[in-house]
Amino acid sequence: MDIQYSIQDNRINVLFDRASDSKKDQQLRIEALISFQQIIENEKHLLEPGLFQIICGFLKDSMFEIREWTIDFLEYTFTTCGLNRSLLKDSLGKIIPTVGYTVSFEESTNIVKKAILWNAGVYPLIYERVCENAYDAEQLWSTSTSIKSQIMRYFDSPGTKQGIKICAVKYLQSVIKVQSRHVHDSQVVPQNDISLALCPPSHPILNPLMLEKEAIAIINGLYNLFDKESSIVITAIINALGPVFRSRPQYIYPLIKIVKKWKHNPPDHLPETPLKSAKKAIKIQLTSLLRIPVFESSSFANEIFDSILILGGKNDPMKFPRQYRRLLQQKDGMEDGTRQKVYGAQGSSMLPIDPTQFALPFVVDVIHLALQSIPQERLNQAKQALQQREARLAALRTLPTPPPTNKQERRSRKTLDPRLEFVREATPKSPSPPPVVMTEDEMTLIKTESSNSTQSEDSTIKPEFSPPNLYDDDMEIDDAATVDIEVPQDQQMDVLETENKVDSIPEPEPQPLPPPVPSFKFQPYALPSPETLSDDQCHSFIRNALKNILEIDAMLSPDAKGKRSDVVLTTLSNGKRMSKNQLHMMASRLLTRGLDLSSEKSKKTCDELREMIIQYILEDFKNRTDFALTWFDEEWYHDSIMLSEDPSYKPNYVIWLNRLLDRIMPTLEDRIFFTQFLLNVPELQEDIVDRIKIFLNDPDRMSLGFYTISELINQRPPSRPFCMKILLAYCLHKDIRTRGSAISTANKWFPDHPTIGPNIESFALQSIKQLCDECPPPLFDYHYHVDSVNDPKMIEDENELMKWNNNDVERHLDLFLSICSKKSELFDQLLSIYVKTPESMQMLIRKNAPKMVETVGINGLLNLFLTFPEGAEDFVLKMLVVYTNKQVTPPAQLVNTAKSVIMERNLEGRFLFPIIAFFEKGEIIRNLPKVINTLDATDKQRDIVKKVFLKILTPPPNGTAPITPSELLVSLHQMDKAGISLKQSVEAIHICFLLPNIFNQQTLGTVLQQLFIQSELPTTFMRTVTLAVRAYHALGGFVNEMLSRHISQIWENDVLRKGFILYVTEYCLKVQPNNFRFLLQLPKEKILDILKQRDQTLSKALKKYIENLKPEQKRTIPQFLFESLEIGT
Amino acid sequence: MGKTFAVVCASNQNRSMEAHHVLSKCGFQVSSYGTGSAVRLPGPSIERPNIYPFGTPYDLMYQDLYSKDPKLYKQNGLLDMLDRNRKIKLAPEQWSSDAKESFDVIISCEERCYDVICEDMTERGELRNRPAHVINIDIKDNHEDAMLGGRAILQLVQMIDNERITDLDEEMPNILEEWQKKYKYDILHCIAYF
Repeated sequence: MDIQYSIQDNRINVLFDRASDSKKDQQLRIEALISFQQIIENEKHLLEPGLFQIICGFLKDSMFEIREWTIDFLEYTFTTCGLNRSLLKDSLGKIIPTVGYTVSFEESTNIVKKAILWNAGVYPLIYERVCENAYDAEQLWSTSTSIKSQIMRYFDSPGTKQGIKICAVKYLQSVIKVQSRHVHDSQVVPQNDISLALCPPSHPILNPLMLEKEAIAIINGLYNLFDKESSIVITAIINALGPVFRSRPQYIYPLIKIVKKWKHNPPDHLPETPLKSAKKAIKIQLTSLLRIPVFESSSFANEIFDSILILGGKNDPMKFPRQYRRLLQQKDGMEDGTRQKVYGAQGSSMLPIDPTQFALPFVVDVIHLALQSIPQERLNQAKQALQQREARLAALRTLPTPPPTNKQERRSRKTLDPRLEFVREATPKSPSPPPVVMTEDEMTLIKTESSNSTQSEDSTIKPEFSPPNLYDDDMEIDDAATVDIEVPQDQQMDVLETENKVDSIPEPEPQPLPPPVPSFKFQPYALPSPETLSDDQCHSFIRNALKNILEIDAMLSPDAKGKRSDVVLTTLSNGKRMSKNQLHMMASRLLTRGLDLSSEKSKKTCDELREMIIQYILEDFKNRTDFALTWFDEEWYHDSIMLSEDPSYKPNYVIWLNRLLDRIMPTLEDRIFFTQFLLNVPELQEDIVDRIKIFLNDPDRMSLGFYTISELINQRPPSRPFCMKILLAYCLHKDIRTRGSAISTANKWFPDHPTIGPNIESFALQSIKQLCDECPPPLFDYHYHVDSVNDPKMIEDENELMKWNNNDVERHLDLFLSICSKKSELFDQLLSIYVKTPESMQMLIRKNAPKMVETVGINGLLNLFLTFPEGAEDFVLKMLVVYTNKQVTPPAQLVNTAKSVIMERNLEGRFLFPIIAFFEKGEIIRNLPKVINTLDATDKQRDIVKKVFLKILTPPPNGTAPITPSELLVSLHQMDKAGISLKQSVEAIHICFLLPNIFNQQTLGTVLQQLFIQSELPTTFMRTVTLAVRAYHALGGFVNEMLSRHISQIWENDVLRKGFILYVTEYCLKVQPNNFRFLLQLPKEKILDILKQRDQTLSKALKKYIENLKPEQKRTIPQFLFESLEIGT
Repeated sequence: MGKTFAVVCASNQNRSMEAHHVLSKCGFQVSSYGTGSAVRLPGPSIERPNIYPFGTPYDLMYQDLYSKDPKLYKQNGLLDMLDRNRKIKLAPEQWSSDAKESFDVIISCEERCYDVICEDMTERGELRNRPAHVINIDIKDNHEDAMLGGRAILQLVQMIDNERITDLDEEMPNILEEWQKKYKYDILHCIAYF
């Protein structure tokens, strides 16, 4: 059934015939395939399974280039060109057997490599296909399995090239990923993941258990290669497995084992540098795994960390995520064996900034300066206090203490430096004391010990990761607001800040805090009776509270980045944790739902507070975006509550969002933060989005603007209509760069997006339809106006009646052309509009032909030729001219189509200009009269025909011209037979003489000779003779002799006779001045006829000549001349 | 023949652009990138560097520095460097956001950049199934070393993109070994996938 597949498209048939004809020139065959690919690029729908089968046939071709093209084409269709997945699946059965042949038997390494990589790409597809439909997939699966075995065999055969192994590694990676299961704590989103989970139970072909076993065997096999392969293959394996680790973390363990093994027994087959490269590759992959948030809490994170240390990760601690840096410091401390140091390290890492981020000299300078600012006595005091505390701690350590109860633990924590608490909470591990860098042996030792030890010791040695509680219940904030916030007062983190704080280090007594915030819960505490505050007091309290919150936040701000904004700020007295996020929420709710808005004054205070927040956000927008978002969410929510209660309520959200935007936009550079911000605010309105014009109009920030607007369109459907309005208006912008960016942004959605795509199409059609109007529509208002809320108005100024100009037409066409390149059938619309427009507009449209040619390509041009409506001839001609000027040789298909359309529609000669040079000789001669017929005695037309001649006569780069100059000139003498007037023929001949480099003496000689031997001399003959001799005097002798022979024939035709007389006159007077020998040797009656002419110049000159002759010379002159010229003897 | 190369340093200003300059002058297909979060150029003091986002045209930076202190920036060579750069391409490009196409060989000028490249290629998912050679050559970030480094890279690229080399994967270890005999740079080399 399949064998009978026949290609429907005639073009493809022709091209395939040409490509498979092994007798043809190699270049021609390749060109045919390239033309085929061009067709497919434009018309992907032509691809179908049967066609793939035929294409695969080329994989067995004898020519390397053809085979390489085929595998590249398969790569293109399956990976880059974005074909329908089901078509690809259906085609697999037709392709796989041949590709399998290539993998096994192809001799070129390069092609084998490409074939293996192609297989790597389609393996998931094959598996998916087999899973979905087992009915006819047995063959497909077994072929694919045999390819798999072949590729695996490459690792066993000794002569396998490194390059093949590298590709095979990638293939096996693909196999491993498909033949294993997604684990829940991995990174990949399950729906994109093709894995064993896809296989339905009791599948007739696939056995998931076996497949998984095979995958495990493959991965073990790959790891075993580490002992014998080169570093190239080893690094390839490591890097190929990187993405696998992310979705299948179960495969990380074996790698960790290898690292541990290498610690004592590094592979001895690798020299120093390759070994370094291999270790480095492992280190990079493992370090990147540590940074994946979901892995932070997984059981193997610790082991990964240790492996990195084995690979020398300690030397560059900056590569680690933050919590591991702390761990590293702690480990360092343990290795030094000094507990003090550990505490010291913990204490210093309390600072919201990480001192390890700075260069050492800088840190030393800071410490130096700080110490200088503290008076000596205070320093002594502090030192003393520290010593006392150490002594106390040492005493505590020597006491065998039972494991502390919860309450006791909290109490003892309180007595230590409070900064330590923060470290405990912020570090995912909560080690006290911190863990040691553990080798494999140490690990086992510790494991056995730990079973006997107490709970607290256990947690000391093998700390568990407990992921920070990122999303605490939102409502806990309310609790938080009523309990103590210890950080600002209690933290005392900055030793440098005030003298008091230095004092307080030795004995951090619980200090009374301003009411109503109680400080320590364990003290019996009686709540004071509520007191009523005045409005002013209230407001000042509120202001201070917010100020405090912002100050705390500011202290943590430098750390805030992504998830880290959730860093735990403090532990509240109720044991719950308070994160930075919650702090933001607290501040936001204080502003909105937290305040009583009944009086005008409190409204004013509210606005002041909001202004304060805006100021605060503006200081560091990048790091405070989260805060801003939390705030606006609250504002928006609060507005909605208020509006439902009181419809006259004036919402705050829009006002304040606009205020913030107005202030950040003029200076903002960072695209990610800004775009993310707009994507995340709860609601967008037209006037908010209108501000993007500020970016779009700024050449430096235009890309930010378009990026933002495209993200908004993509991700916020409710704001899509007004975002689209702006974007589409910019597609008609006057500035070409701005317009280009807008168009490429819009083009992204065309034609695939179900709603935006048609929207763009109708706008593009609308803009070209406007070309029919008398003048361009008024320009969109591209400027952002602070006060123009809602609908951006159109500018209506005195330019309203401006006529269309070049730029206007171009900007109205650009978007349309850009979408045409994706949907070529739209181009007809332009033509139907073109024929309706007035001539002046048509000219403007034609000026854009180069762009259009680029858009439609050769196929579009062919189609255009076949279908163009009446009235669009000039348009088509212009397109043809542009295309042929661009290409050295236009494809034969185009020439032939153009030729047949010219015949069919009986088009004028000017249509031939661009293509006649590519005709065969006979056709050129046949069509020449049409070209000559266009001559109208104007210089312009003459120049055009001259160029056509030049093009016909100039040989292509590696060939010969279809017609020689002499053949052309000779055929120009036959024009009278084709009904061309004498005048036009003469004009055409004259044009030849304007090309002296081509029509040189030799060519002209040949032409004259050929003309002489014709049975009948052409009417224009004497003209050519005269012009030729005038240009090349040396031709005179030959010409004169030939003329004398044909003299009687010339005298029979009056035109020729007159031409001859003119020639003689010119020859005797100008070419050979005063040389009458040619005249005198003519027959008597011809001489007399010539001398009888009305123009007596020649006879007078002859008379003067004879009179001046010496008597003996006169005797040679025939007698009748004396009589005729009335000369006395 | 006809391999594609990428040269990568931190800011796409000095080392990678020097290499870009010499390679493109010799007709190789080369692109250059930076792996930093922004483009950092020395300023009037060590704690006041000039920072620009990637994508800022070299010409703009030139004008900016010229307007700030022409004498200082002429003296430390920044203006000359930017002048050279703006003749090569429009603006510095960032590896993670601007390097969209695949390359056959990627050369980084610093270990930090090498790490970023390898990690980024993994993060991209390796969906294109195209192997590439990633090579790190440690070059100090100053004008003199960048120039020497640029020459060394040119030599390496000439050894790689050469009609005698029919199978680069096979030959690469030998090429690197031979190259290291001439140039005493520390190198790292691996295969990564696009």
